[in-house]
Amino acid sequence: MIRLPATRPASSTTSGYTSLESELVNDCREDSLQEDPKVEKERESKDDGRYIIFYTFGDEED
Amino acid sequence: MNQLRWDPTLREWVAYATHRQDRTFLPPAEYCPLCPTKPGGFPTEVPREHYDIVVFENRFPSFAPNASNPDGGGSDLTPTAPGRGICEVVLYSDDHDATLATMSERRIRNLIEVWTDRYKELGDSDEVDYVFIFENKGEAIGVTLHHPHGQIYGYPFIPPRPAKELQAAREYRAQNEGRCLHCDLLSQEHEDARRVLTKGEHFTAFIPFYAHFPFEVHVYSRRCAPSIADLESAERRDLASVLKRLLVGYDSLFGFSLPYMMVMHQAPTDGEAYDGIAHFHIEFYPPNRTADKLKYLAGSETGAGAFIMDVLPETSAETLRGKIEGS
Repeated sequence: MIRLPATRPASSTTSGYTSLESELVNDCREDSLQEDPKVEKERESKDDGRYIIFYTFGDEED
Repeated sequence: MNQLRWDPTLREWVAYATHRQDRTFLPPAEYCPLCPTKPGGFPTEVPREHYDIVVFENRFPSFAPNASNPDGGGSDLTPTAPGRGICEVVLYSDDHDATLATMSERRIRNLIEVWTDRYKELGDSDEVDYVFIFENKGEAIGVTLHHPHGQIYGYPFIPPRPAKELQAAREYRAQNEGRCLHCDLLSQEHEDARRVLTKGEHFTAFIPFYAHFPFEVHVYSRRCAPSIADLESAERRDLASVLKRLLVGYDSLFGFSLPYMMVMHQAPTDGEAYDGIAHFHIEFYPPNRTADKLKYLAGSETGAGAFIMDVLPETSAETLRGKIEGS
C-alpha cells in the first residue's frame, strides 16, 4: 500500500526565486497595453431568440 | 432535450443533450457558421460584416436555461434533473484562419476582458454554480468548427474535477494554518525552477510536478485571486503576455499549430466564499506526446482514473522552455 504523505507543512514563501527567474522574466508587452481597453458591449436577439453580444474595442486592429 | 442523470457510483451528474448529434461538423471554410455574414453570402451566426469579439448562446447547448423537468425514468437511486444552465460560444476574431497563438497580445487581453465580463454575468445567474471557460482546439480534440473560438458552460452544479480540487484546497487550508494549496504549489515550482516555462510580473506558466499529459501547462496567478474577476488591470495585461509566449512556444514545439484543451479553474458562483481556497489558474492539456503520436486516455486513465506517463515533466519542460525562449 502506498501511504499518502502527511499534510505537507507550508515550507515556502513566495520569495524563493532562483537565478533562472531573471532569465525567464520577459516583459515584452506592447506599450499601448499599459492602458485599459475601452470596450463597447451591444446585446441583440437572434431570430430564434438566442442572444448575441458584440464586444468592440477601441484599439487598433491586429 | 437537456437532462441530468445522477451516477450514484461516482457521485456525479451526467448531462444528456441529444440534439447535439445534429450539430454542424467540420464545414468547408466558405460555409463556416462562425465567420461574419458577407453581403449576398449565406447567413452565419453573426449578422455583421466584421466584428472584434462576439459571444452568443450555443445553438446546440449541453445545458439550456429553459430545460424542462425530465419525464420519468429516474428513481431515488438514480435521480434526474433538468439540464438547466447556459452554454455560450466566444468568437475570438472574425479571421477564420487565426488562432489564439497568432493573435496580438492586445487581442488576447481584450479576450480576457470578455471572459471576465462573462464570468460576472453568468455567475450572477441563480442557476449557475460554476462558470467554466474553455477552448477545445484542433481535430485531435474533436472540434467541429475550425474558426477560432472558445466556449463557456454555466453549470448548475460544481463539476467533479474543480470540486475535487476545491475540496483538496479546503482540507489543505484547514490543516496548514490557512495556507493556500495553490500558492504553496507555485512556491515549490518557483524554488525548483526546472518546470517553470515563463514568468511575467503576475503570472507563471509551468508544467506541474504531477502533469497528466506530456506538455500539460498550468498558468497560475501569483496572487491568490479566486477568480478572473478578481484580477487587477496589470494582472490581466500580464496574463495576456504570458499566454502569448506560451502559445507561440506551443506552436514551435512540433512545427504545427498544437491542438489542446484549455480550461480555467476558479471560484464557483454558488454564493459560498472561496477566498484562500479557489486560486485562479488556466490549465492546458495538449494531446500530443510527439509530433505524430497522441496521448490517449485508455484503459488505466479512463477505467481506473490512473494516468500513466512515459515522460517526466522536467524533460518536457526543458524542451518546451527552449521553444518559448527561441520564439
